[in-house]
Amino acid sequence: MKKYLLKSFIVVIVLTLFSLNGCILDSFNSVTQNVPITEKFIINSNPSTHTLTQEVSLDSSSVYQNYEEKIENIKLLHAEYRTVSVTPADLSGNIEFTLADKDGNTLFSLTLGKLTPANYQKTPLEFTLTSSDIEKVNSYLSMLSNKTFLATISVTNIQSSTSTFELVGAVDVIFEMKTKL
Amino acid sequence: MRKCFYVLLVLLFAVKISYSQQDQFASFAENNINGFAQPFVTSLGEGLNSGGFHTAYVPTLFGFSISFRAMYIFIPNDQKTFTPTLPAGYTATEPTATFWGNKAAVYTGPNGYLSFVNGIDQSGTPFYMPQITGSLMGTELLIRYLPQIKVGDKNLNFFGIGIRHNISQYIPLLPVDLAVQVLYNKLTLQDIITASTFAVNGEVSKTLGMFTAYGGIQYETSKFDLSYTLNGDPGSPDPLLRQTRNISVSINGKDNFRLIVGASLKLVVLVFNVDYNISSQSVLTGGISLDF
Repeated sequence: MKKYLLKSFIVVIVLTLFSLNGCILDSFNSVTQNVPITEKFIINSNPSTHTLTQEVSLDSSSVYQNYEEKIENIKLLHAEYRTVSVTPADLSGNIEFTLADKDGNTLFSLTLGKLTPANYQKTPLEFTLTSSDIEKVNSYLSMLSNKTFLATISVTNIQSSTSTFELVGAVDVIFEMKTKL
Repeated sequence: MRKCFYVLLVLLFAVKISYSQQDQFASFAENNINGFAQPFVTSLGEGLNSGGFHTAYVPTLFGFSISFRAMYIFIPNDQKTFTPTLPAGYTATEPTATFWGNKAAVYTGPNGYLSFVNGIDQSGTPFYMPQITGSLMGTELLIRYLPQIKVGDKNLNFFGIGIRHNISQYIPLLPVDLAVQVLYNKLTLQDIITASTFAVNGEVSKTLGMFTAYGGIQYETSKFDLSYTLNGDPGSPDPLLRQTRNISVSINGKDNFRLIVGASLKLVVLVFNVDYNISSQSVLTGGISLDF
């Protein structure tokens, strides 16, 4: 009876330990962290319309570089527009932002409307992305070799109290990256 | 398989740390590592400071015991998040994940996005320990020890010692057993961690036949000296996170007091016990001992 009790107890302990360890050790097979990247653009002349296209690469993030060989998946979390500096302060214009894959296929496009950039120096303007927008980006990123985007910013109907102006803006994007340990 | 082997034979926490410390801790500077890691340190303290007794009776002549203790530590929700310190221009509008938490919060401000690493999203963790005790004239010595083991390329050492003394022997006709105990544990993972815990408790128990009901109150501390390399990101909005550098910090656990309630069943020399510890992180402890 005693032997039976002891054996049963040991079996229960061992099974419990294995099952609990299985659960918790799964958590240590990977680590998930967020990868922010920023693309700056400068508009500093006086036509009333500007369109700039710049290449944006995840390689610009040192966090991405550190873990590039171990990435399991990477997903878009948030994106925003931010003004780094603007002269004059009353500069305004209609802004449209487009993110495309490396071949130029549009992933999402946002019309931000008429903006006064000076309002977004301390508090960036969060992009309102639909689940479809996010899905398209994530689908593109599911091929891990895809790490380059084409970001296009168009500013139209520019209005300013001075004949010359300079706007340094930035688009910040943050991704969630799961990597193997 | 190697991990399972270590977990069963070593201490789960050491393995966890060896596999995760660089990646889990490496995105925190001195100002936030405490908030992120303190619940983990508390868990370590809760585990090491558990299982010190399963009765308040200490033989007044001679006694010897070999035990195996298994614990399950419950992580409360309020220790899964913390409010980080952010650079000027940023506001912590929501808390971010601790080591045990889930998703890291994303903060925005004048220099772009700022975020940290996710937690491992767990509500509890197991913990195991072997120990032996020997008593003479109402005083018991408890030893916890593991020989030096390689975990990855690091050496792991663990040692614990406790002294327990029978108080009821001085009080004639006392219907219960009383004892006091002091416990100290030290765990080191070469160049990365030195963890030490201390506990002092008062115990009471009552034995009826094969059954013993026991309880106690315990004061305890846990301290964790951690060294790691911060993975600097030159583009980070937080100036403290821009340079890769070595960081050494000392973190105190949140475990201070616990209330212990438990019961044991003795079948000749074989003792099964279970107790519940109400503390900063509550602990369910199960044990099997050979008591002579």
